Amino acid sequence: MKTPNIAVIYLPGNNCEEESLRAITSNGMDGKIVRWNQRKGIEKYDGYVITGGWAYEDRIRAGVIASKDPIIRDVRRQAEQGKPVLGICNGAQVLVEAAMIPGLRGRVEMALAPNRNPLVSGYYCAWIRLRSAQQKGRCAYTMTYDEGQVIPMPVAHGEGRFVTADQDVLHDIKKNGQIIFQYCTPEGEATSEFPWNPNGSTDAIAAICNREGNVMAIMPHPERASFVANLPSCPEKIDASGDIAMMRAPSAANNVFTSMKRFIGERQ
Amino acid sequence: MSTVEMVVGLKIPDGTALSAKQALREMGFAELGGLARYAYYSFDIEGDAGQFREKISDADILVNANKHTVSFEVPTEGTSVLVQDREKPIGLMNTLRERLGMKEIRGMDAGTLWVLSIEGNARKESARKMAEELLANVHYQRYTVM
Repeated sequence: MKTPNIAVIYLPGNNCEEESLRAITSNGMDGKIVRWNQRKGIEKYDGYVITGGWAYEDRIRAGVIASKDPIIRDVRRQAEQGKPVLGICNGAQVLVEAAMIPGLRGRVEMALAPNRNPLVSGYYCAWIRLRSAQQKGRCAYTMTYDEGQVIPMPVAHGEGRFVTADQDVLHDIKKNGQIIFQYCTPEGEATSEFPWNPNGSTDAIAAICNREGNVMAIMPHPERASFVANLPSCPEKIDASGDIAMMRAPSAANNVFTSMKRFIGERQ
Repeated sequence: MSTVEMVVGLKIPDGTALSAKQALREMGFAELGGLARYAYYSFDIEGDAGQFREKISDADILVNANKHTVSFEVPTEGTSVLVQDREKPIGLMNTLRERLGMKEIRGMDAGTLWVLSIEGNARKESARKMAEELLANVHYQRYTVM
């Protein structure tokens, strides 16, 4: 199998490109940070990660100016050929505003609205837990997750609440199995309750894929939780204490990228 | 009960307005000549509106005199698009009432007012398209073309 080569799309104002690249290369993939104005040759990559941050300072609203950037049109064309595209946090906001997620009717069908959070208004960061909501392999990023598996990840956003004014859209994404990850309690129950659900997202949605499963918008940050050393205090980390190799071992969140690699391998 | 409208603009260059104008033109809205952005507030108040205007323009939570302009009249030049969240700004109202003591506020709304200079005869229709395609996300916001 040819080593997958991933473009980490960097838009002005992003700040997670290095962590994203590290998560990619730690899984045996090649990767390169590709700036928004380096579009030439963008089609040669096997997959794309649109990183977190504040592209174009989130002017007007998060992700909307970036969604009009020519490089996102290029990425859309590659997604239409079946290549995987992963949008993390601000990247997720870009995919929603670009109508690539949920991608049912060719228009913007959802929003990532300001958080609904009893503690603070605006930006909020915390460790939360996600529940894998679909059967293994439903999309390019869950090839190695069991349905119901609980994964710790950090969130860091002010506009992360998946909403839609069109109830048919909500019906369709449920029917199609497009809700990939949900915020959950420590026991793995999807919930709308704070603090487990940090933003009041509809149906506890933390990540949605397109119908085909090759594009996913995820608000939490798997790239910031890829290694045991990244995790908050937990038995896994306590066991690794004093052992650098165990600290550098991949954590459950890293499987998002492991899955992406496997998906690309199966396409080749 | 009376209603006081307040618009807050920037004295300094407005990067968001510049980005919005550039994006709209790149999206094909060649008829857009200029664009200005204001923060918009509407207050339902008990009591003297004049005193309230004075008090609210001194509330530096909404206005910083070093960089903002304040007006109590909505701009009438151009075609305006008012974009507001579907949810009322309850947190901000509570801050004004409870922390800053403005108990005369009975209700309020907030949003972003875009004032567009549009060439041609179909100005309102053009403004509506700009709202739909860039300035508002109708899944959590509403907009009014004026």
